[in-house]
Amino acid sequence: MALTPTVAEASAAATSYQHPPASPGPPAPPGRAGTRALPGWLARAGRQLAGSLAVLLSVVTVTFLVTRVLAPDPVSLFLGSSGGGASSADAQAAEMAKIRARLGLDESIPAQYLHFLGQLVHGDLGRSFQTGRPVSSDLWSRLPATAELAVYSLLLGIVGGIVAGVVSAVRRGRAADVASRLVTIGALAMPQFWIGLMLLWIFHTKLHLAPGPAGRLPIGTDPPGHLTGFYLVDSILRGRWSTAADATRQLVLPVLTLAAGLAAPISKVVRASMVEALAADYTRTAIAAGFGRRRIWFVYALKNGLLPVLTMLANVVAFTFVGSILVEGVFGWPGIGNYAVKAIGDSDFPAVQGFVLYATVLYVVIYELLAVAYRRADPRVRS
Amino acid sequence: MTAPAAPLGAREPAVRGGLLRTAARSSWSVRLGAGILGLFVLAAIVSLFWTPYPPMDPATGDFSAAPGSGHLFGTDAVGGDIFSRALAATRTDVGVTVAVVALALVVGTVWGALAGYVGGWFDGLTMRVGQVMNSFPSILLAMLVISALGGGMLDVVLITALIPMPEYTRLARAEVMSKKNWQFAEAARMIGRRPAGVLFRHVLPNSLRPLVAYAAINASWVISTVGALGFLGLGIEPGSAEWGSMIAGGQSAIVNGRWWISFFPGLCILALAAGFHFLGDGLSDDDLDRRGR
Repeated sequence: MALTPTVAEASAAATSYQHPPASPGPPAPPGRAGTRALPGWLARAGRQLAGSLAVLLSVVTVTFLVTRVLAPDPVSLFLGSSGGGASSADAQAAEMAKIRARLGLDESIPAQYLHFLGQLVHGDLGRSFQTGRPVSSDLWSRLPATAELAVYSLLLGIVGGIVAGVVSAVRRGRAADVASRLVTIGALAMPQFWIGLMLLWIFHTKLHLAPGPAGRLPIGTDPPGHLTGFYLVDSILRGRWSTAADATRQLVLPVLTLAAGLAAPISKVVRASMVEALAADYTRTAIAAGFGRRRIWFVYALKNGLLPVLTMLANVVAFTFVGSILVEGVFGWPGIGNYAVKAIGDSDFPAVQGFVLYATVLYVVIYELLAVAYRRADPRVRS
Repeated sequence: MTAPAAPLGAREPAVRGGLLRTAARSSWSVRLGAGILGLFVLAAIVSLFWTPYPPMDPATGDFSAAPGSGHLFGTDAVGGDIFSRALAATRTDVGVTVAVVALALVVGTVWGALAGYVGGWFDGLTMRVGQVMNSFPSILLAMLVISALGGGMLDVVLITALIPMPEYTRLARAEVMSKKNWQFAEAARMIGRRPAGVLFRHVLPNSLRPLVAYAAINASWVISTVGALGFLGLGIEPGSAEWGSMIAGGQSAIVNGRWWISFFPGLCILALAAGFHFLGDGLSDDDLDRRGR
């Protein structure tokens, strides 16, 4: 599974990056005499916030329409599982009406929509059909597992991708470059869940080096007490060294799987932009001025080479969500992705919807933060 | 329209050569990619007429037999032949991938070309739609929609094609905007071609290279996405073979050492996606070379 297309299209990105929407600073609105005009950054922040809210509202609306209008009637799912104990058609209809009323499905669609929005504002994502509990608390209880996996994978994937891309660019055309590009294409082309399965087969089944797909800790091990929710960090903080070792062993394969998928597109983009930076006039000037190669590579070229990574980080984060959907199940990881997969399989729409909304909110927040960071990092878009 | 000083390029730059001449000018990367794709298309055609065993039948041999002489890729837990099924799945996966890319390419390109050529409010709207679609993880929403519709491969094609479409629009718009005032376009207007003729007969054909290169790279994303949807059981029609769902079928057998059920379908996805990557990388490199970089 590769990234969203804007990122997979890494080589073309060398010539045409997508900058985050960098609206040029608006001219200060002509304030009335006596009142001070809004500072430029505040107006910009306000507009960005409004834009993000509009995006969120449209995603919310689409998910609502999809799950309430397009999807098959959820009531049949309830009767399908429990049967409702109804024998006659009348009793069954009564049972359905009762469930309908309980789920709030007897209202009109616009009324349901307003109701739904009202719930969302209070952080209520509805109840899961399957677990019967609020989706928000289901997600919340699974968040630490996914976050622990995602943080380590992001760190490893970003660092690994940058190193591979830089090595590839400064050794352009040599063995290290060819090897790094082949590995990159391989990692981009392999479905992520398949990488996970193959790693399991090699390192667990064949070599007995890694534990099986048992989740965050081997079966029969107690989790460390809750401090941060990260088992590795918590067990170190509590001084439970054997638990820390167990947690690490469980983490290795899923983290490698996710990081491989993250590192590949990053390395491709870094290579392309580093090659460009190394061919730029300022690099030639630096060489002519007698600066050392390493200084040029790692101080001047790398700074410019890393800019496109900043723009693609939002996509990288989105990719981590998709990755968690595909990979957590392979390793029995009790995280949000695994929950979403089960929900998809069971047509548990409130749960899927909750997951999509939660991911969208996180994505939009990160996207906006990156737009700000990009404006700080690259004076050219500040205008 | 007041044109700025027309850039150079009085002659229409499109060079149309035969397939062989194109191949001779291409890099090894393009040839490798095209070769791999050719093999898959061939496999898809062959599977229409011949597979060693009926692809979806159980009990074509021993249960869970390792790859060997009778069954090239082994058999699954109920004795189905993996090779036959992987061969038949080529039709599904290659077909869906081609359909998705073609749909996104055609609709996105025409839309973007119009926006770039016409400009004005239509262009503004196009850019705004693209921005909105880029600002949330559309693949997740697509999964929700496909699972809610509960439909088959047609739903997968229609919805998956929406995800990369803004990128085609953006590329086509940029290309057309940069080319619409070149001298060959001016010349076409001068001899009295109508705007639609100038755009679709002259400007757009000269703007296709980066779009085709992107389409190849995009196709490798589409094939892994289709595989991922199949792995999650989305869009799979009963009785049809698909690589991603075949991988899912072998998932629990991995820890027991029966690797072949998942291994071979994954290898197919890997090979096809890598083929598209080689093709796309090569095409965009060739494109940069042609521009004298």
